[in-house]
This record gives sequence, C-alpha cells and structure tokens, in this order.
Amino acid sequence: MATIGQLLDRLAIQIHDLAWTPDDTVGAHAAGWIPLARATGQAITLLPLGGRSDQVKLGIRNVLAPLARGPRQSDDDATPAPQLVELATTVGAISDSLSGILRWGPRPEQIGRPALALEAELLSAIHVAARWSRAAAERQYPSPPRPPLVTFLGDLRVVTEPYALIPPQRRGSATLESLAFAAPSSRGLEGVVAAWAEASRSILNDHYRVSGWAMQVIAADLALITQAVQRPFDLADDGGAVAAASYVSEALSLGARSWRQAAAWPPHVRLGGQNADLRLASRDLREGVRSNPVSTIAQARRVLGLDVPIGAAHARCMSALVRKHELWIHAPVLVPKVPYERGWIREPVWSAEGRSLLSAAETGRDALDGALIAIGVANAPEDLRTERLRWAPDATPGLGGRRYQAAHATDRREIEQSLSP
Amino acid sequence: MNADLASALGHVRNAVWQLLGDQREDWLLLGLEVLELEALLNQDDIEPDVMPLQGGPADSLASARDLMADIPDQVPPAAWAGVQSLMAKLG
Repeated sequence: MATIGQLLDRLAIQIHDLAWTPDDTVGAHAAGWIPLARATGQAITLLPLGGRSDQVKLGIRNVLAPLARGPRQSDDDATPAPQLVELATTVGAISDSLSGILRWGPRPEQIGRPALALEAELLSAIHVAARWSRAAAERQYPSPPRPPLVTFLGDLRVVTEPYALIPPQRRGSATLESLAFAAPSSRGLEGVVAAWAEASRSILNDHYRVSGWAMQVIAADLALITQAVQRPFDLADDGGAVAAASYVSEALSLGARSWRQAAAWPPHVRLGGQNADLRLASRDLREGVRSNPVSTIAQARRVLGLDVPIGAAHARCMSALVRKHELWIHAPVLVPKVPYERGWIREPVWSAEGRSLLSAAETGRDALDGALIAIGVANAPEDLRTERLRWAPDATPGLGGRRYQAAHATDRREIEQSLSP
Repeated sequence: MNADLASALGHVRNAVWQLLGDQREDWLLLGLEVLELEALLNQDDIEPDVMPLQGGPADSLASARDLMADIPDQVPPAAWAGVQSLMAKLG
C-alpha cells in the first residue's frame, strides 16, 4: 500500500531518469502519451480543487484531450515509449488511489489548497515530461513541418509551466500525500481497519442487519481505534513538535470517551440480531491494534480517515433507531408508566431510553471529525517522508538520470524499499 | 430449556455494561471480549433476561459461569475458555 506521497516520489525518480534512446520516435512518443494523458486527466478530474470544478480544470483538460486521443493517423506498429508508459503507470496509481480515498466524497480539509498542491506536484512533473518528449520529437524533425504531437506538447508545456514555477517546497501537502487507498487486503493496521470498516459499513447501511450487539461492538471498536490513534499526538504534544497536537489529543480523548459511552447499552435495552462477520472483523481489529501500534501522524491520519465515516454512519443509524422507537425495552423497567408485563416490548413512543446513547454517538462523531480536520491542517515535521527529489522547469532532458542518480542514491534506495511489496 | 442460558446472558450483558460504562483504559478491550462472549453464547438470538447487577464485572461473569455450569450442553466449548480467561484477567 503506497501513499500518494510515495507515488509522487516514484514519479520524481522516473522524471529525473528520463533519457533519450534511439527508439524515441515520434510514433512511440505519441503512443506513450495516450495512457499518460488519460491517467493525468483522471487524476486532475478527481482532485477537489474547489470552485466550479469543470471550469477550473477546463484548460488542462483541453490540452490533454488531443494527447489522450492519440494521432489521427495512428501508427499501429509504434511501441509506446517505455519511459512514458512507466510515468503513466505511476500517475495511474495516483489516480486510482485518489479514486479510492475520495470514494465517499472529499472531506473539508482536503478541498482547496491541499488538492491544489497535489495538482502542482503532478503537473510540474508532466511539464518536464512534455518538454522532454517535445525535444525528442524536434530532434527527429529538426525543421518544419513537424507532426501535431509537437504542437500538442507545446500547449501542454505552456499550460503546466506555472505549476513548475511554484517553488518545490510549496507544492507539497501532507493532507493528501500521506493518504493511501487502504483495502482489506492491505498490509498492517490500515488493512485490518479497512476490513473492519467494510464489515461495519455493510451492517450500518442495511436496516435489517442492524442489531444492538453490532451497534455496541462498532461503538466500542471506534473507541479502541480512537485510543490507538491518539498515541502519536500524545507523544508529539510532550515534545511540542506539532502545533495542533494538543487540540487533536483532546478531541480524540473526547471521542474515545464518547464512543465508549455509546457502546455501554444498559442491560434493559436491546435490539435482536446476529452479525458473525463483524465478530471476526472486530477480533482481527483488536489483534491488529495490539500488534501494530499507530506510530506516525501520517498513519494516524490514514486510520482516522477510515474511522470517521463509520462514526458518522453509526450516529445516523442510532438516530433512526431512536427516532422511530425501534429499540426494545425490558417491560418491567417501565412500570408504573405501563402496566406490568413480562419480557421485552418495543419502546413506547413517549420513552427516550436510547437518547443518551445517541447523544454520546453524536459527540463521538463530531469529536473525530474535528480531530481529522485538525490533523489535516497540522504541520507534522516528524512526519516528513523520504526527502523528495524536486525538479525545476529548467531540467535538461536527457541528463536527468545520470546527473541526479549518484547524488540521491540513498534516497532512491529508501524510496524503492518503501514501495517494495 | 433456555431459561438458564437467558439468565447467563443477562449477567454477561451486565458485565458488558459495567466494563464499557467505566472509563478504565484496559476495560475497553475486556468489554469487547465480553461482547464476543455474548455473541458466542447467543448463537440462536434468544431474548436475554435482565438480571440484578452484581458488585462488578468479575462477579457478573462468575454468576454467568455458575448458570452455564447447569446447562453444559447449551454452552459452546469456546465460551468456557472465554469466561475463564476473562475472569482471570479481571482478577
């Protein structure tokens, strides 16, 4: 499971390693730009830049479109330039990761500046690739008439140049770059939490599968995850390393307390049903939290990002149960308001037994949401990834790989290790 | 036939409430383990009884174990190990 930032690191290495080969024909470059322009277009489409998205992204989309379509008279025999295919694979992975991370819609802290920073990272790399590719085409056609690819790449170079002119240190944003698309098959705590989140979501989204036991387990699991996520912030707070750590730590404390209250259903309140899948997922979660403690703020952000939507779904579900009086109450508890009756009855309309549980769930949801927003905008110096190779718009095509390789050999090894399966 | 099991479940639910209602950090994990015990015991989704609260979660689990001892054929083997382990952890 690579983070967006690690994929950007890989993109940086690939960009710096761009070198011409005898196979760099215009046909090969035109074929190579088809997947690269498509992947770039998809990634840009997904970014929550703010404003009127379609209008804001119109310029870059217009220059990518002819490259993504390919030449009108395609050279079927042309093998796509391997360097461009590699770039397309990485940009495609970034696009796929964004698609997974933003599948429930962007969160408030991701909209605007963090998305713009990521857009700048991507398009400054595309700028260098466009210059490199255009230079290769011009070498093959030193004088006009030149193929349309040269014109298209010229347009792309102009549109992306402003992004490449942004100082590298201002392009990065940990908010999105520290995220990764965690699936149940992912390794580590994120994979375990993703599996638990999937099991929980499938129950909370299906009215007929919701049981009191599941509501209790999900709330207690939320408390457990929140406690685990709190650890790096407590450590950071002690060292004074993170400006927002104190606030985040307090919000997470409140979240953990509240979810625990939401899990403590009084014995006279219940809702029948069974959820064997959740039992397994919850057990794995407990084991995962025990054996893989959250160690960095970036990891805390990823785990909390999986946690928060479940908290919201739980509170929504609890609200429906309370509002529709769907909980069951042990009837003798209601005496003398109702005549004595043995056993369990559906909660009468005048009763509000579940109100305190709902209130605790809503407080927990809001606390987690506030913490995630605060983490999103916090500076976390100890969280810096492997120092990224940065490129400037004056990068000379063909020299990148040789020039930078020796100087950054250590960085490269670290990055490759972090990406190895 | 299920009366004792319903009562045992009642005590287990009391233990869950006592563990999760308290903010002691290590009791959260124990509360989750007791919830798992509840699921193990209640595989037929029977209605639990509401039992009088005992002095603490260990006492509640002890009461549940005593009732379980009267109906060994209705108790899954894993539940015995679960209740013993939990009582040991709770001292």
